[in-house]
Amino acid sequence: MDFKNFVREFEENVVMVAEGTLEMSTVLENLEDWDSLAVVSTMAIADNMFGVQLDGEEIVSCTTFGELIDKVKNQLSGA
Amino acid sequence: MIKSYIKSIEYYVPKKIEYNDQNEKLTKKIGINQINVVEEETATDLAFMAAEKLFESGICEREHIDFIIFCTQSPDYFLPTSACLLQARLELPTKCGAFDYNLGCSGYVYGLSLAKGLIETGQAENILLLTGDTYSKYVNKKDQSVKVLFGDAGSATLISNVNANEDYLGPFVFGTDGTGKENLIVRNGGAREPYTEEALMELEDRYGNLRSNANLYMNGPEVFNFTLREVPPAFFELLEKTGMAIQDYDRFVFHQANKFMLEHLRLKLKIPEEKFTVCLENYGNTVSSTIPIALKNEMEQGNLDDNNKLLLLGFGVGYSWAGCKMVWKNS
Repeated sequence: MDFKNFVREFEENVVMVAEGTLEMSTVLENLEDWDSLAVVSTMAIADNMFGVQLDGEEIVSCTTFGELIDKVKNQLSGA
Repeated sequence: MIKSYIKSIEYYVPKKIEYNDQNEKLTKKIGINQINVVEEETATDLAFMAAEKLFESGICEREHIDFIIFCTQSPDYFLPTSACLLQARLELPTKCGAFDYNLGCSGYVYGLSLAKGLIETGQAENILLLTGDTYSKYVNKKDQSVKVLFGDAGSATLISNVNANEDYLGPFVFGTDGTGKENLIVRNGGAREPYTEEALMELEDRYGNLRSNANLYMNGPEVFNFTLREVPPAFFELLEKTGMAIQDYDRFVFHQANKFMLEHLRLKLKIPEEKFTVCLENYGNTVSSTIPIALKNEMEQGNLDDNNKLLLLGFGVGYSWAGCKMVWKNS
């Protein structure tokens, strides 16, 4: 699975930061654009790229970007 | 054979306009620049105004209407039925049938189905299908998650009988999943959870939005997931039922939820952009009125020709969804 593209898309279109800004330890709530629309946008790109449906509450419960990536990976392996 | 068809559509929006902040990225994503909101008017007033426009156009005499169906989630009273009030206000014959039904975004397609049933079984000849809602009355002004999305509007569709061999309305597909009730709800004020002082207490959510249990609540991510889960299967079921492929349709008119969701669905379903209606910039999500407003706008822009094949699909609160094929007939 191409997580590089997912990360790039997430940076560019969801939280709108420069490419390569995010690290696994980045705290999502510290990002200015991390809001309810960002949660929906994350679900949209996961659906587009991997055809998986993420649970909104689970995304909201993620503290760091790394946790979010893990959720997507888990969903993929479970699907 | 007796067939039913849409003879005319009108809509009405209240005068007061609220503008979404053009500098907000949210505004661009949801594709809604402005919405109309009521001040003193009710949903019944909006439907009334739309119906008056229809009669003023001269397409139909009041005395020929023999049924009123009114889709609303904002009735004037618990009882009596708003459609009965509309019969009197519109000065329609007392031999009219009239009833309300409570649905949101799937409501218009349901209304077409009901009208088809009444007409094609010979129970009615000219049906006034009205929609009207005033979600702005339920929205907390400090709740951005819904305030920027929902606009107030009413619509009136005249559905009449005609002698024809082919269907103009249908086939239909329907779907319901009541487990989604929590995700789009006005919790208090009905019989299950009446108003209490506590219900009117405003609480702040994690994004800084304020709302009480008497306000509209929407769990955006969950509603989005519902749409991804249910709309594509319903869409393909309808294609199969009609024996038609995407390229056989001239136009797709979906419930105008927001641009972000519509665009996502369009790409997922592989519908060409030029055949896909997006009409919410100036009205927002007007619940059961989005589809008739979109149809009327396409009509006015000259995008609907006689015998065009359309696919309509509404989805939302309930959860409830419904879709149908419709053949456009010039009047």
